[in-house]
Amino acid sequence: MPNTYAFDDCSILKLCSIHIPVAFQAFFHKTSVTAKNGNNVKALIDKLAAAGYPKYRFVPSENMDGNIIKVANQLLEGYNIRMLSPVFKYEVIGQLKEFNGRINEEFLKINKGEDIAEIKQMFKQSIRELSKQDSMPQDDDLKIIQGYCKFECAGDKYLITEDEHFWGYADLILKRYNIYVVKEWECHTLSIS
Amino acid sequence: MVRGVLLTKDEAICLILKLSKNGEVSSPTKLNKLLARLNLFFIPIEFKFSLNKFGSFSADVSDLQDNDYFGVVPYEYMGKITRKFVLKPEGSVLFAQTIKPKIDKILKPEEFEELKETIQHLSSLRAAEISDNEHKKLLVDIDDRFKLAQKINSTFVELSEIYQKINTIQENTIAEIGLKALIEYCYHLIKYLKEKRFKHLPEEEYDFDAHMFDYYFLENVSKIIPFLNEQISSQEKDAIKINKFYQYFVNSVREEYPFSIDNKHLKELITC
Repeated sequence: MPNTYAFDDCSILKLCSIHIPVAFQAFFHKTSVTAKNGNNVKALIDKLAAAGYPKYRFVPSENMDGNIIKVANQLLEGYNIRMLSPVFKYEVIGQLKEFNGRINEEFLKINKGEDIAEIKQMFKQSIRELSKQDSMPQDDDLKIIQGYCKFECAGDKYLITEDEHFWGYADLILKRYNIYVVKEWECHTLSIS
Repeated sequence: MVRGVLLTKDEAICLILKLSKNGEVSSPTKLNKLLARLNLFFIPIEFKFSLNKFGSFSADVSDLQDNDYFGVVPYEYMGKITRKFVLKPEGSVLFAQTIKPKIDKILKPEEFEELKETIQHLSSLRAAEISDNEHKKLLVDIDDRFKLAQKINSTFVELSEIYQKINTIQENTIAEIGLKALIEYCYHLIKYLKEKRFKHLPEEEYDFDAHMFDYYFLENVSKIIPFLNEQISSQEKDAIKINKFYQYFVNSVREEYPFSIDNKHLKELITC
């Protein structure tokens, strides 16, 4: 029974290798930069391709701009760009936007759920302290869980994500919704079956 | 971004031909002038322009050959053989499928109409008339040196005031980050023009060493200052316009122009 492997939008964006314009290369000592965990996500994507498995994403993407900014900020973490730093950031955002437009069609789609009242109640009752400021998963996170839960699949369902709103509740999500949450930085260790 | 809206040479020519009367332009000189005019609409194109006494000039236009998108047709005019450029059906397809979608990313429908009217109007003029019009706008003539100096000074002062407010802009949306990037880039670009390119302009001769982008950038930055002022205080940022201006200033030039993110020595021009 084939399993299903679905990625959240931020994890997908991390597959993008950012070309560094020549003027900024001195701050990086390289010509391109990839987000932390990008190589791990790519390793899993390659494994799926080798095994002939499709990869999935969730639609509609309601907060793509926010996700792009988040990944851009992560990409720039630890670098000290001492010249035109907003320009470089906007260039990174531009590349991520273009990448997102290109990569969209390579993923099969899982529709997000709409009626999240019940699932929201469940999380409210099981709220945990996370390192994030807001411990309650956002509505869009709950729509992903509900949509994935409804998605028909004979095998197991895996959700690859860096978002603590998912992995912070991994055991609960598995128990209640039968979804394995895989931390993005560990996803390359998954065996594909 | 990543040069996403930069028009290739073929695309820029097809755009001009599509917007010109009868889909044709009657001489290389005129085509040169019309292509140059795209700069004043903030449309980044692959053609590079230098300054000669007839205004902006691109050597690339002289070398154009007939291709799938446009024809280069020799004809006789006042006893001389010249060439006209004619849009082919494939050029119209290129316009619909590639060029217009790019333009739609940076121009609003009413701005595209304005571009269309301008190109149609200019294409009915003689090349010398288009050139005069361009000279007056860009202040490239020797007689206008004083005005040029005033323009660079006032633009720099106004932009410096805007630049001082840059840290009040949040970075919660892509438009806000774009606005910050645009202001930062324009400020350093104008500072560079003021302190390097226009610092020692002789008063008695044309600035033949100039890159026309010195003049396009000065003109275009001065034009967007009211927009930048309005955007800084506005809650709703105009993402399309911000991106259009940004794309033009950053992506019109590559390593051949010193102030470019493709120049590995750009840092030296900024910290000087």
